[in-house]
Amino acid sequence: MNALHGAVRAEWTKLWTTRTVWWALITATLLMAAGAAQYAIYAKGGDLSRDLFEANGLVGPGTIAVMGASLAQFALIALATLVMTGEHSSGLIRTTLTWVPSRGRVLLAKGAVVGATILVAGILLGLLGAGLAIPLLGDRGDVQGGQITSHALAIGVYLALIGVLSIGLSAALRGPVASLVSIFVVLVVIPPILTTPDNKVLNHLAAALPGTAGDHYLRGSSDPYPPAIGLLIVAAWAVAALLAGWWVMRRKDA
Amino acid sequence: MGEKLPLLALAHGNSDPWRPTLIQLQHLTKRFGSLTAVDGLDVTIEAGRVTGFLGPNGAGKSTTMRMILGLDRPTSGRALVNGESYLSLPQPLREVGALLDAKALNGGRTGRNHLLAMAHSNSISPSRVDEVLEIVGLTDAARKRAGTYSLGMGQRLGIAGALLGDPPVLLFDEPVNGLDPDGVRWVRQLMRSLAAEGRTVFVSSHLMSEMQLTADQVVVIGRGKLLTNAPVSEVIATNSGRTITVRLPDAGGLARLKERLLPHSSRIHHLNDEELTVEGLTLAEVGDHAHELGVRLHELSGKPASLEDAYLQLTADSVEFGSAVSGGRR
Ligand SMILES: Nc1ncnc2c1ncn2[C@@H]1O[C@H](COP(=O)(O)OP(=O)(O)O)[C@@H](O)[C@H]1O
Ligand SMILES: [Mg+2]
Repeated sequence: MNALHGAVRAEWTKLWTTRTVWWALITATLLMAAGAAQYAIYAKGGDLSRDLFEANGLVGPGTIAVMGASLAQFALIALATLVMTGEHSSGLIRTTLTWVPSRGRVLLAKGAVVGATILVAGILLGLLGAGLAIPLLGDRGDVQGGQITSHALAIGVYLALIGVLSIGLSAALRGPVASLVSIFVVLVVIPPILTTPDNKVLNHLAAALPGTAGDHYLRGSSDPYPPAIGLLIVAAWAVAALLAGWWVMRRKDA
Repeated sequence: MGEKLPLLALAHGNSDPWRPTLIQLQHLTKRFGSLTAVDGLDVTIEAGRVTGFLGPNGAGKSTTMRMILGLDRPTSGRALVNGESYLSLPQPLREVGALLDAKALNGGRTGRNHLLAMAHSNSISPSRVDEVLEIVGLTDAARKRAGTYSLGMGQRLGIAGALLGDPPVLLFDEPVNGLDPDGVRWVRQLMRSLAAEGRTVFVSSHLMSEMQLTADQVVVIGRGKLLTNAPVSEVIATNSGRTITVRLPDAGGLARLKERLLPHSSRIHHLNDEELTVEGLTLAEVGDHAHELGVRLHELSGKPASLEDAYLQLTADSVEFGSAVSGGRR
């Protein structure tokens, strides 16, 4: 436990002593602001898909924040990916592993540090998105404080899990391009391809992917499964990615 | 514990003198596909002296060091530090300090922050970071991004990292690369004083001349195989004959001296009408023979045998195509 504590402190120091983290957070903020504003304006004009409106025809600012988060997530995925793949491209991984020889501990520490950072960033981004949405939605807005905070929390949790997933996948694949492309494909490319034919099996498959499951969780939709199951599916993906990364790190020379 | 150079007051509140710590390579082998980079090394590296790790480029030195540090998995055999695998050390920086590749860091981070992260990883006090920066003379550059460092500064940062945990075992892979002559002398002095404090110092190099001045013991490998593991003086004595040059003013005297020495000497080269080189005899013996013959000498001199000669002789058969001098990866 003591050793894990040291590894976490080292990763924390590493994360906050380069510019990467700031670029990623600034970019995520801009994407959230732009996304939330745009979706709020669409919502105000009634130009959003019907299932986003509540029974009374109003839209929750939290819902708008969730849509903004689907854009902002890419800056945070890039951050998580670069934190891991950057070690391989610079050779720093060989230095890191002489500090902390346990591959599992390095991976857990990175996951914890990046996950915690993204969790906090995600909550703040969620609040920002909702806060921007309220004035823009005007009388279309369904302003209930509780809903806004719970949406913001959910955004933080989802983004943190996707960040951890990115860390694990990057540890397994090592290259920044391979890692980014794979995550992008799994999150946003495959689901619409699978659901287009509206085939039962393919739909189930799509529902088991982390992006789709996260969407269910964030929107609180209970269509194929309740939101909590969506969260579990995303968490399972994150754990599986970490295990894959751990397996590769143990097997391959650094 | 031997003498300490005041410049290198390395211990930090570690009042227990460390137990002698050694590195054991037990039939250590590493294959990359069909290439056997390290081939069944059985070596024990002892505390309290500098052990040079010599071999031409591509001989397997860096691969061996990576295996000691648990970075590369041995194909078979094992490497132990004080009887334990590096992978099982809870705070390895306090046991082993290593400089492998000084470029293996994120250039966007300052040298100080790099060391700070390193210190945190093994619960080492941040004040120790400033101490080692001082020792390697990098205090002024510590808050600059490491990407802006020269080769020599990068190397110093790497050495600072190796010293950070005040470890009883130190590994340095080609530490003088990129250092200026002052830096080279400084590293040599550092190695000597670390060993004098009772630490285990294992330094690789392809520069034989460097090891002759620095090392007490040398482990020489070629194509991954152990060629020799012996004290420097012994390697020189057994592997390179001392060469004596004799110069005479007349060809007749030269012929007579050569005839006289032939039964005693292992090898005589007739360089030209006035010069012979002789191996296997001492200066005194050659001088006595000349005196007994009554031949006049204009020169009788001995070139001290060097590790360089010994090394060239040892590795003559194991040098990969033209890679003894340059080429190959470090
Ligand atoms: N990761 C690797 N993959 C394949 N071959 C390698 C790898 N690392 C080293 N080698 C090869 O192993 C041999 C030994 O390399 P190395 O240990 O770097 O030698 P040295 O440090 O003595 O110059 C060389 O032929 C080198 O090309
Ligand atoms: Mg090398």
